[in-house]
Amino acid sequence: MSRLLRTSEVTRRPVVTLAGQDVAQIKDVVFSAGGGAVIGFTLAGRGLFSGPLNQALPWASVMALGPDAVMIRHEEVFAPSATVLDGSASSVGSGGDVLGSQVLTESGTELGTVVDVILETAEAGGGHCDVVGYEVAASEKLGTNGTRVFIPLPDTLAASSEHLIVPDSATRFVAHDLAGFGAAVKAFRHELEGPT
Amino acid sequence: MSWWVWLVVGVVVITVVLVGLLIVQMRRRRGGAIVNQSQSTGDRGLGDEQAAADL
Repeated sequence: MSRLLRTSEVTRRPVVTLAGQDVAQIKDVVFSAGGGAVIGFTLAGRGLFSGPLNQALPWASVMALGPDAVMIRHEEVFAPSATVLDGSASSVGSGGDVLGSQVLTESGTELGTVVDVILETAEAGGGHCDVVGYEVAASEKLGTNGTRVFIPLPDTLAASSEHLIVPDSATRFVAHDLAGFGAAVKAFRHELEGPT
Repeated sequence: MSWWVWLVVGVVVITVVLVGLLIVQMRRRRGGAIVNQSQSTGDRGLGDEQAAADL
């Protein structure tokens, strides 16, 4: 079983060790442009006046992505930010942030701007965490100008911090709520794979 | 100017500076979703590094 969640639900979650120490909080979710797999998280310190940290939390070191906290074994699993970020993002900033980016189809139609990113993660431990879609403030082309809709993504993403490209057929699998979005992603990817 | 005018000016200046600092701080801490162009796949599995180390 897997579940869908928005990145905005993950950011600001505390990072807690098995010893019960509240050591940081999630700042950004970093994912791969190639396959959409979550690589890790950038971190911010706890407390109102603490800023972003120079350390990151690789996904492989996450023990559980719970509804209230991200669990890790101990603080030593943190790695330098460069291990999860590439040159497009500054060491502690959000240079490659896709929030606010334009979503375009392969034929050049603008579908809207990204307001959130949808993750699929395993219900229990031992699973994966992938980006499977975007929550988009829709343009007129989707016939729902200004409303928020969910656009599924293929296994292989085409993404930069300015433009996110989706296949033309993605517009036929747009969902209006997160509950029905999982089925839309499956159907969309099944269609892309073609008859086997 | 009388003392209470300076008091009001001081309170206003301090309030503006504090609100500005809070806004800057909130922007620094704001989360996002960053795409990494250099990695094609991420590591798989929750805690699999520790699991491998424990073996």
